[in-house]
Amino acid sequence: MRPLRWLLPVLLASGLILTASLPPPQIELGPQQTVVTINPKLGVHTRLTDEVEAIKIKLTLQMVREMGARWIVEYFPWAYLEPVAGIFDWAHADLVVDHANRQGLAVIARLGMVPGWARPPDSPSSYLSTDHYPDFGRFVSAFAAHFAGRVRHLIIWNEPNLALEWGFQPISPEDYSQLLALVYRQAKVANPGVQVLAGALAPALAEPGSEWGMDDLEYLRRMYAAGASASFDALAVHAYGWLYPADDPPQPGVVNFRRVELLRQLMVEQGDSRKSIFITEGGWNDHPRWTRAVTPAERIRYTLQAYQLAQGWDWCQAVALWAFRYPWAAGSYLDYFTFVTPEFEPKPIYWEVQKYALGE
Amino acid sequence: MLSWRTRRWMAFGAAALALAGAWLMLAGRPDDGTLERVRQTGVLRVGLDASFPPFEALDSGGQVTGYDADLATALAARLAARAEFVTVGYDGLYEALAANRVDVVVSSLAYDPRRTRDVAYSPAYFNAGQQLVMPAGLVTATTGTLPLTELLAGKRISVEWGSPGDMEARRLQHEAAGLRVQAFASAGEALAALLAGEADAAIFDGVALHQFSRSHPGQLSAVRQLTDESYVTATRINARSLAQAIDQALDDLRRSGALEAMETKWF
Repeated sequence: MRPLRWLLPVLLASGLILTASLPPPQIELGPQQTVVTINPKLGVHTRLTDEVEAIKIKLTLQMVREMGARWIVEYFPWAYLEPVAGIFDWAHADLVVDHANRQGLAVIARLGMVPGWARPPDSPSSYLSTDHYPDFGRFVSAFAAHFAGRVRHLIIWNEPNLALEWGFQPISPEDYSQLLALVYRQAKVANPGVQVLAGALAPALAEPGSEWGMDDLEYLRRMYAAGASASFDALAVHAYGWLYPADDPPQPGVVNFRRVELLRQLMVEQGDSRKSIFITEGGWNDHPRWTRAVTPAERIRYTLQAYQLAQGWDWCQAVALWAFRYPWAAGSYLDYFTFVTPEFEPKPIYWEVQKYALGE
Repeated sequence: MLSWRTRRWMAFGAAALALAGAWLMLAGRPDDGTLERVRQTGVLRVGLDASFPPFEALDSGGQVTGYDADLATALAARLAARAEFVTVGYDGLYEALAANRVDVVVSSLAYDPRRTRDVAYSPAYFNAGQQLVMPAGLVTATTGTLPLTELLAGKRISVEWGSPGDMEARRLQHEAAGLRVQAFASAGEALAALLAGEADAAIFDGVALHQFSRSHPGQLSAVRQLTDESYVTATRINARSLAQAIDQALDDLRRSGALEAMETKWF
């Protein structure tokens, strides 16, 4: 009997070890899908960066397609993909991109977030010093090469006109233009067909000299003055409506959805009329108490209005509103930007957008 | 050679020592002295995002006002201190707490289980979740005990179109046979439909219900809490004395009726 008493725990332990060492179950991509939609510019910003489960990644993207969105913007953090200098980990990014492509979705990749090895200790992850511009360029180049044929549009950084997103360094369109030039050259060498999107600029009404941000119109003007025109194929813009309907007229002193038309006007004045704009974040919030929120009914109306407006803008290729779903609840007003809950329950706005996309 | 019994007891002993060591490591974390500093300086630094009336907002003079402002002031008073408000965007509240820019966050904050290694949360002081509401005249002694499937079968329920209440109602349609959802452009219209007898029930969040109950005293009855959106305060995990003091202060405020008085004032 004594040997048998030892055998059972050993068998149990062996079983546990074996189970723990097995690779996670593979989630099949499934058959190639096509997005059915009356508005080919309809898009959303997904948030799959921290979604580890393949089944949830697939389900999210399936629901995006079923809603009628053809475009997604997704964040691919440099810090996650190159955790050690020179060593790339593409596994999660491959999962997201391959599932997106299989669902018939076009991926616009936002690139940013500085790894710890490329910035000083205790600095924010948005801190990129000029001596590490070549490292970022090398990363973008590797990304462009790795995803050639699968991802065609790359957004270089995010909201560089906000101090929070520029590592709390002095906001500098000139430095950003320098970064853009370096990245553009390297990306095109790696993948000549890749489209480099500058920005994405945050709508901001900052006072001149503000330490917190720079007016997006002023920022774009200074980018052009710094020669940035030669370093981007399209402009990424964030278009939040806050309290205003989508068709509220654009004014330099107002942040509303149509502020994007002012940026477009600036591009045309600078001779860039042939370049497109991609709206890569935007939309409305319907928290019942946030001071920048509208009612749920207004959010639905304004969102549909925004998608319809963009159809008439021949210079706008996509409107990807924020945000489709978070992997977990934020527990704040941020949750009221989403279309689907973390538990994959579609919100009423999801159904209304779907009805619109199906032409109902 | 050791017998298997001896080896077994040695394994148990090793496990017990490991557990005791872990307990000592956790329980032995020194308090960071925040409460002592608060008492010495007479200032409790309160972090909040002043863009959520009626909980926190800025008045015309730029001063912080609202339910959470009153709550924080009352908590500070029980610590023999005054509340000093530090307005921070919601995204930055935890960073402000970690960076010791504030001592406590009182800002319609939701409990986040992913942060409990770094943050201590108080018990909930308010629930803003969705509630099933019925006209008071239709509520009997057994209404609150009936299963929802039975309570709502064949009923008409009014909601604000697109709201979390709308979502709840659509979910309930899968459970209660014949439940019809009537969506209105505003919560006010949904309420009007309920009071006019055009609906049998409605779903509102906790704040809206308080506000409607004040404007229509005695006409509404909350029958069931459908979702949980509890608000808590947060302190640094190492500020254990402060956390305990705040928990005690909250309990005192609840028992004394002060929390209820704040709800009456602000909702």
